[in-house]
Amino acid sequence: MRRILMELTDRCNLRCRHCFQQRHAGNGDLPLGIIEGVLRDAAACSVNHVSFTGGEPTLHREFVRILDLCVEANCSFSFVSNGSTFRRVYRSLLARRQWFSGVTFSVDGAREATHDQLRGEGSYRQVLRAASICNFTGLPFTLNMVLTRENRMEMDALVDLAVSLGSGGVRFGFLMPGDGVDTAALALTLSERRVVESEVRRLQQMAEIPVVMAPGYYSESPFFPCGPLELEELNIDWRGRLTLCCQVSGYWSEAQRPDVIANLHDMSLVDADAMFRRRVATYLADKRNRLDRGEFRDADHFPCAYCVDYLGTTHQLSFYRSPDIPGRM
Amino acid sequence: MALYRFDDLLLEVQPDAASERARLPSLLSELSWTLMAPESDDRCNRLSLRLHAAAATVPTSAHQTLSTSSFSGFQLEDLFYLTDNASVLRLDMTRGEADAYLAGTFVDKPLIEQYTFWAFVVAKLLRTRGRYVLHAASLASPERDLNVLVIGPSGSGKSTLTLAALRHGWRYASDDAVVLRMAEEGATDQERRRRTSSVLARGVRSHCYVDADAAARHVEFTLGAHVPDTSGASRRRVVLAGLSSARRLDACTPRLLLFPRIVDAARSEFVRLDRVTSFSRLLDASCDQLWDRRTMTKHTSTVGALVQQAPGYELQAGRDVFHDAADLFRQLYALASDEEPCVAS
Repeated sequence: MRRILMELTDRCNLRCRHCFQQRHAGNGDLPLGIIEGVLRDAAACSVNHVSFTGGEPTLHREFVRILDLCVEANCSFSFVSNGSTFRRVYRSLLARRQWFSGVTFSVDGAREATHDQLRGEGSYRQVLRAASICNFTGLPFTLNMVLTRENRMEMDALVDLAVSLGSGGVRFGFLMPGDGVDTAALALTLSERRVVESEVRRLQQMAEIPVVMAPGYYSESPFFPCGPLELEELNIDWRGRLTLCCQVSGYWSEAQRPDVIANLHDMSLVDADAMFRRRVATYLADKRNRLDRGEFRDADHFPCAYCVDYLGTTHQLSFYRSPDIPGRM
Repeated sequence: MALYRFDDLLLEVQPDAASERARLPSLLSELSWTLMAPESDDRCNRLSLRLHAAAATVPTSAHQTLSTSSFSGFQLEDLFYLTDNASVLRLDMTRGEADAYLAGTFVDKPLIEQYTFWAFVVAKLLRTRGRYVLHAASLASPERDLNVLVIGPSGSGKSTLTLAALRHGWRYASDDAVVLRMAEEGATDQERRRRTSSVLARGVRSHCYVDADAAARHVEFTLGAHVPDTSGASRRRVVLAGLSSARRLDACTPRLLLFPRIVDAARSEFVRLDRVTSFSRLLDASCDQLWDRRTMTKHTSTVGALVQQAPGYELQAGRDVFHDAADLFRQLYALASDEEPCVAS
């Protein structure tokens, strides 16, 4: 079965230093009509799970109604959250517990000072309070940390914190160097990412709970097992468009969105899915051609770097072309 | 060396002279620590506080974890440092031992700042032994064995309700803070089954204070001089010297949680809270140290067990609290009667 990643809103009540700048001025919600249509077609597209992202997805004005739409469509649901709104959300989750597969809380520091420096003062206590409520009520949750120069030394401590809180697991992911992100100060270089990945592998061996890495880490194989490219995952942005991947959603300005595949205002999910399949087939064929021509660079082993380059050069690409990668030509 | 007792904990403080200079005996008394004879029971759990003459510093490798207007906290593995930039206290969280260098300027600070400093240290020491501070008044009914915690921040009505309860013959442990802990396992199987997962609350401060502005509402009590509180406002101590020891309460097993909120209404009302709301409000009322990574799990578990053990109500406190609370307490008894006996799982 497949899943949909649905960007419910571009609004957020935090101003995280490592987030895309346009989120901070966001004011748009994914229209309810689009969501209804998508969920109506979910079964026809073999979708049985919806994961909500944002912005802060719980800020969507119809969040509870959307949960009900998932239930009506026989889809389980999950979401990511900064935890700030959890006190008004948890009752809705308890009432739909059978369909709720978990919330992923963003915790970007095991220490309060580290987290709050990235995500804003008071946000650490908010998210830990939310996790405590989950633990108390038995609602499943995990923690997610975006790795930066400021928190990379706290990976072990984050896993300890997750165990203490009763988290079902920890996910580490790399920062996407987009507009408004203080890349120079925060983003790990490609060689630093390799070091961090080995630390994650060590934690995976040691930790009592599952530790995973979000897509974007170094892959020996040019054909990285990515949800969208394996046709397991459909990403819908808050404007109601089917896009290639949530990792690069919001990466380009609206005038230049090479990742957009179909507009769900104009067509059904079934038709958009057909376009998505053709686009992925083209993408994979192009990648094989690149490999055959010997144009696959070291940096391309980082899948997001490859996609950013493939979809169209932007100024962020210079980050992925940094010369620090070991053995780089 | 001076020895102080709180519950089954003993705190060794030395040396005496430095302790006196730091006003520790009176501050510890205010926090309900009782001075004991030096040969006191060795079976008690021991904590220690040593005062040193040699200056100390916070290691540069320690991470800052706390910042208030008067002091800062730093953590380095299991060591916690509290400093005002001149004085430094080092607390070993594993051993429950504190070592302090107090600069000469420390005793010149306003008393409220010194009190806050030591209250923080004592709360931190208590955490090393599974005791957690909660902002709550602790009351017990004169009959029916009804133990109630009244939980909320300053200004929520804890002291007002405490004084109303005293007028109606209730017993009293604290109007401001209690220390929670899981009950020890009992001596017998029957007691063990009954007590294993229950939570005990012990009053932290035996004195009761009211806002100076509200003094006129408590004319039947003798009020002491004005003293500043931590928010910069003024409060007055209620002289409870006439209260018999039978009306004093050390510790209790709470059976009801009240979260008061002053409202503009003639009569008070109780609104039942679901357990998650009670849990969430208890987290709000826990001390700032709740989110200390090393102790948060046991702390939140203790709070969770308390919620399982005692149903929670919001008390929308009307004007009757001040002059005619008899009906309010009758309602409270009725609520307690309606609740099924609740045994924590």
